[in-house]
Amino acid sequence: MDRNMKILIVDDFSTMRRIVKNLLGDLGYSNTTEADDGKTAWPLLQAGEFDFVVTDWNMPGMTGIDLLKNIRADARLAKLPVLMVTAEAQRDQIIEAAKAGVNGYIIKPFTAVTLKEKIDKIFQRVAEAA
Amino acid sequence: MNALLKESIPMHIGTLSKLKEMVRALESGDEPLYELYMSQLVGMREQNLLGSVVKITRELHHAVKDINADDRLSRVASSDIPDACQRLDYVVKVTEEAAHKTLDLVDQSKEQTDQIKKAMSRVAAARVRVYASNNAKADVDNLLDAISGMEVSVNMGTSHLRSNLTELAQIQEYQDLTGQIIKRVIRVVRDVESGLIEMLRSTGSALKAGHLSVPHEEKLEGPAVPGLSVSSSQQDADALLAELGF
Repeated sequence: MDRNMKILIVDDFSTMRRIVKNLLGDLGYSNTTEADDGKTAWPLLQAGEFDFVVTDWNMPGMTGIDLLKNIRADARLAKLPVLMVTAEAQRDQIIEAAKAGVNGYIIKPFTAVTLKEKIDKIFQRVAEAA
Repeated sequence: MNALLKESIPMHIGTLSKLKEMVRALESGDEPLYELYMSQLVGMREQNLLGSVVKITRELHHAVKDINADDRLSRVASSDIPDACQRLDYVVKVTEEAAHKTLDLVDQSKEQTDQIKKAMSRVAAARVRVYASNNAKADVDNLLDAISGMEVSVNMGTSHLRSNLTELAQIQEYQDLTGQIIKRVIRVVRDVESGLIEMLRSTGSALKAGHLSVPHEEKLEGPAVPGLSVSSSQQDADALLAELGF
């Protein structure tokens, strides 16, 4: 797995962005950029060669699920791995995210171990598919 | 038989007898009498309409008075709710500040542990050189240097860590303050709830619960609250995604 991969962290709470950024740093991924909702994330994704997106669901402007749908509908970004890290823990929501093509789903509050597990699994699958 | 029908019966009887008199006047060719009855009939009708308007106005007036009479509800709407919103905004601000302060201290503490680790590595490397050179004086001096460097690092680092931990503990006081504020807001919400229930009762509760439900703009549930929402754990989510082929 490329420890230097470019990761976009999308969450409207600056503290949560910081926590995710720190945890990713501890896992060896320090090439991160932050966006506070889907709307600000979208132009960054369009412009900047990101390898991985970690996004919240419930955000003003553009929600994480809409960001995910936009990513999947965009020819250049369609295959970008997306990990949803959200407080939304309803069965319907998890199914909706799965249908929209999410690669991993983490329910807040979460631990560093869960984050590592999900990231490892996502990139293991990406490697298998390649 | 409903009340409205009961009230309208005497009026119908009056109308009927007036109409019979009008027919008789017409049959006897008494046109002026017929006109008189006709204008009386129109008068009766207008008076009845006026009575209804007066009655509706009176009811409306009472209803408005009832609503105004609920001082608690009007106080809640005009001052308590804006006040509660301000307090909740403050809670968001305080908790955000506390979280950032905590993260700052964690970052600082990580740096301190890194420094200690670096000093330890220098000692380890110097010791290896001492063994390799069979206690060459320069290497022994270097090891002693590294050891005193490590002493400084450990002393400074641990006192920093200790004060960071004290500060971390202190920051947790936000829970007490925000907890009190949130409890106050809960009281306001309860006041609104009981005020609305009383208002519904006083207006005869013509509105059924179903009519009151406002469509939810927000379909997301938000963070799970134990006892309030049925939600999945990470394990449930993993199992569900596995079922879906993830």
